[in-house]
Amino acid sequence: MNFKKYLPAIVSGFGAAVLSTIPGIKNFSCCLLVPGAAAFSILLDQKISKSNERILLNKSLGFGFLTGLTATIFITIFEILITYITRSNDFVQTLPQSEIIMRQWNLGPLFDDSLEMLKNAANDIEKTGFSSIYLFMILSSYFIINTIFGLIGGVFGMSLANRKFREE
Amino acid sequence: MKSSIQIKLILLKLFLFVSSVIWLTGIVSPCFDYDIFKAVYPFQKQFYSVVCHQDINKSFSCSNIFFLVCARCSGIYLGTALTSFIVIFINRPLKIKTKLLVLFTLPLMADVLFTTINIYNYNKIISSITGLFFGSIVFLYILSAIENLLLQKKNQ
Repeated sequence: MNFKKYLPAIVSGFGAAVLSTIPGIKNFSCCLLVPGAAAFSILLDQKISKSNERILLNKSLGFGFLTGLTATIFITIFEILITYITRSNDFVQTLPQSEIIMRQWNLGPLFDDSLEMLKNAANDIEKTGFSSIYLFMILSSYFIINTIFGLIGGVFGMSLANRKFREE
Repeated sequence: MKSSIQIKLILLKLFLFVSSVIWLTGIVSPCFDYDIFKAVYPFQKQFYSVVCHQDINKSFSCSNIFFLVCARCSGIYLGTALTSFIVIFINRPLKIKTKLLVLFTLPLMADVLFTTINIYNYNKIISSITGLFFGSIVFLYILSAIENLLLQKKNQ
């Protein structure tokens, strides 16, 4: 893999991951930061290569995916590290409230088992600062969502970069 | 006879439609009275928490169970799903300019701004309608970018 070729995507993904650790901005992580970073990576690559050529779909999708993937890896690392240090996170703090609300809906015995699994994960975090179930949950959800939104951002960036060709 | 580009476009539209319906089904799963949805509800809630703040005061509900995303996000994804269904039947290439994207995004931005500075209170219907416009135009904009690129490739 030509590392330098994909550097804009990796840098943008890392930037999005750093911004997503800031409370307040965190909520916009998936839907603004990651697509924005993917679009930025396309424009950044165009600036670095000083190219005036049309950006192709394959390239924009590749950059989008890589930005999403980089963001996923670093967001997960940051979140696991912060959770390990503080032994708490949003999931642990909101679970008791969510449980009260969800119990009112009488979702059945299978739901109780699922909730028990989540409570065990929260207990593990409070005791040791780490839970493998939690790691799997955040890694899978961030991977699916960030790569999808990264792809969208990549195509969006391509559309912005190719605007002059389209409107000519 | 359809060219390979046209077949690719049809397949792309079908793929986007199926994907958006699957995504939307997850969001409105409280409306389906299946044990499997109830069993995975806590995990789904955690999964969708990545894309939305999930404030139940700002979410629609079905059978007294709240959707997994807020009214605005529900509108965005509903708009995407509806538009992805409609475009399957449109054979002409789409031409969505950036100005149109900005124009359709403005109601959502205005709604966010006005509710934040308390000009009016949060309204689920307004949020979902402005979200619907936004979701539709973003989908069309992205699809038109892909279509343009594929069709220009064909012409070259």
